[in-house]
This record gives sequence, C-alpha cells and structure tokens, in this order.
Amino acid sequence: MINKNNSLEILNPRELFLRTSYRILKLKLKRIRIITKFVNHLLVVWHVINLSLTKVGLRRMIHKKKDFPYENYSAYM
Amino acid sequence: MKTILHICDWYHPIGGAEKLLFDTLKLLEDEGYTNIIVYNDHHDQKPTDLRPEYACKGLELFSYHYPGSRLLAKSAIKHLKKIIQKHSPDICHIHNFQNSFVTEYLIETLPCVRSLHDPRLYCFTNWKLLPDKSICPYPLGVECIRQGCISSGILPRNNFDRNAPWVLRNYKAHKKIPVLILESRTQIECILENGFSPEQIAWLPNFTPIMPEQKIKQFVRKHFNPDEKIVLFVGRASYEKGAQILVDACKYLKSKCKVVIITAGPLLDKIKSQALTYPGLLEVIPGLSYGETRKYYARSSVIIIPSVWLENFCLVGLEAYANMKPVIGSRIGGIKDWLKENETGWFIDPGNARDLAQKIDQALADMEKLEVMGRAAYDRVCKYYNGKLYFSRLMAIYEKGIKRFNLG
Repeated sequence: MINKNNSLEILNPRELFLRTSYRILKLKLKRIRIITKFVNHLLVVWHVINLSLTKVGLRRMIHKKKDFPYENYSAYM
Repeated sequence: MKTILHICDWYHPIGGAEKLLFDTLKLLEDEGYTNIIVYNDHHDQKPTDLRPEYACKGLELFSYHYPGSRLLAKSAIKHLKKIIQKHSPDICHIHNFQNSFVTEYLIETLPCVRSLHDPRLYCFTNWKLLPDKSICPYPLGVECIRQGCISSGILPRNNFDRNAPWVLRNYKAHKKIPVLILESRTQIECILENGFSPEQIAWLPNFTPIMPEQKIKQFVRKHFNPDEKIVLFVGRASYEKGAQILVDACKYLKSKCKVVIITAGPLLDKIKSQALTYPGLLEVIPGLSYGETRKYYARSSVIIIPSVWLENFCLVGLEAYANMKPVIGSRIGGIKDWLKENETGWFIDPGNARDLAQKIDQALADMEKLEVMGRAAYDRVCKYYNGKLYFSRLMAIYEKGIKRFNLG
C-alpha cells in the first residue's frame, strides 16, 4: 500500500516488491555514482600532487658528469 | 657462485632484449649454473619448464598509475621473499624490469646487477626522442618539462605524465645498484650524463650464438638464391626503428630486388598499407619465430637497420653477422660500435631515405663484395661477440656486483 496524491493506492505484493526494489536500486546507483565521482576526484588530486612533486624534483636535479675509464676496455673497441 | 635469480617483465620471445635473455640463460646453464626466473604474471607468458620459473603478480609497472600500487608491490615482494628463501640465490640479475619498489627490495636484500636495453631508466617518454621526434640531447631534469615531454600544466595529460613519478623513483633506486650493465659507448655516455657513477658501470656488448663456419655456410647455401636479391629489415614496427625510412627508400631504389620487412608493433598496419603501393618490391611479414627469421637472414643479401633513435646496441646486426650478411645501418648509437664502414657494411645518415636507397643500390651492384663483407662480418662476430667471451665478462661483472654489495 503506498500513498499517492494524498490517496491510498493498494498494490498487489508483486508490484509492491518491484516498486520498492526499483527505488532501492535507484538509491544505490545514486550512492555509487557519488562515491565514484569522489574517488575520481581523489585520483586526480593524487596525480596532480605526484606530477607537481616530480616537476619539483626535476627542477632541482643537477648532474655531475664523470669520465668513464674506456682505457680499461681497450679489448672491446 | 652457482645460483642466479633473474627477474624480468617479459619472459617470452618478443624482441632483442628477450632473445638476449634466453641466450644468456642457455649460456649459463651450459656452464653448469642454475637460473631461477621470476617474471610478470601476464596471460601471454607461459613457463618454458626448462628451469625453475615463477610468474609473479604485480611486477609490471603499468598498473602503477594507481594509489594501490604500493599494495601490489608489497604482495609481489612477499612472493619474491619466499622464492629467495627457497633457492637462496648468490646474485640477482635484473633484466628489462621497471618496478622500483621491487628493485629497491632486491638491492637491499641481494647483490644485484641490472642490464639496460633502452633509455626508460632516464627518459619519461621511453626512447629519448623529443616531441618533434628529434634526438634528445638532455639528461633527466628541467628540460623534460621545457621540451614538453612532461606536461607543464597542473593536470596530467597522458600516461607519460601519470607514470613520471615512477620513472623518477626507479631512476633514484638505480643510483644505489652495485652494477649497471651497459651495451655500448653511447649508452655509457647517456648514463654518465644522468649522474650515475663510473664505478657502477660495466661495459658488456651483446652476443649471439654462432654456428660453426661449415654449418653456417651449408645453411646459407641451402636458402640463398643470388637472383632473389632480398633486402631484409627485422625489428619492431615503430617510429624509432625506422621501418618507414626503408619504405620511403623504395621509391628511390634502382636495383631489381625485393625488400622484406619482418615486423610487429604499433605501425604494422600503416607499413602494410604502404607496402601495397610497391607490389612485388615490398613484402611485409608480421611477426615470425626466431627460427623462421634465421632462414630469411640466410636468404637475404644485405640487412638494413635504419634506426632514428639512440639505438643501444641492436642485436639484429650481430644476427646478420652470424649469418654471414653485411649490414647497412644508421650512423647512430650502439650501431657505431660494431659496424665497420666498407668492411662489414655501410653507414647511412639517420632518417635519410635517399641515402639508404643509394647504399642498397651500391651494395647490390657487387654481389662478390657482399660475400667478402659477409665473411668479414662473420669473423668479427666470432672474434668480439661470441658466447665464451660474453660468459667470462658476465662472470667478472657478477663478481663485481657481489664485491660492491659486500662493501655496502
């Protein structure tokens, strides 16, 4: 039995079951969508932080090139 | 030292690095060493049942875009711990493998040596090519952002951006590795430019199994037809390997010959469609087994290596030499180490299709000279790139790895 337009509508058990299941499913889907959106936002934030940290690391990078003792490998050349 | 743990992403024959891995495993086993293999659990990869082999989940890097990556790595390390406890290997040889979490664990636990086959350790976009496809002259650093290899904006644009932290992490992890095995002078220079210490570096040119002279002569005689005049390319269908340069060279070719491209990769469909414009001249064979490819080496007159990136070594050249075939290759990267102009082949300017066509015409005009050069190529591979030499050098590298690990 459900209340519709201030009047009572009597439903058979099968229809009642279908309508309530549909409502529950809709609510669950909505919740899943909200959670997915939230997780996606978190992922983007995570990637943004990672990329910024990488770029900071790259900007700080200074390499000192040393010589390789090729003379020890004369048999290779 | 008798037991060696090998770890790799790919444990099935896809390219030169994997062929070298399988040849090295056989070489070590023939000398009485025990190999333990740990590879990435991927549906394409199956054990060979020739040695103890373990497929391990969570080893491959590409899942590492996600925050759960640390958990994946933890589970992989747990599996690895059990394998190390069971076999107690004396040394770990890290092959084509990009997982920094696992590499860090291995460096702390065992003496490790790492073979490098490409610039992925010090390049975010894998092949050390700038966005305009020219060769990158810079080490890892701020130029990666300035040149546009890494997004200068806040949001990551592509998977190179998402992967960047892991590449940087892997780079830092490798600063602590006892030995880096490098294949050519070009690669050594790249590694030094990126701030690695010369003490870490061991120079080890590739090798290829070589058949005795009489056998190889018989094999070539069986398959070679001088009237066919086959010009062969073997390699990945991707921009850096330069298959498209060979396709472009077809329009300038004057000799009557057949260009065969044995390839697989991202540009395969494009190369196949281009081949349709040269019926009878150009044939594209998608992916062949090592055995079948060898027959093509024997059938061909000259092998082409038109790479446009800083090729680390290019094993195809040694395979050509081992089959008594000269090479026409780009004057670039590791190719300069093993190709001798007018002795075992010819150089071309990288990316120059006209030059390539001219060199092919020049080579095919004198078949006798090609035979003499093929013979010189075979002598060169026997002298410098044989299994015996490779094995003794590899053992010295393993000893160095153990010594440096013990010194801390």
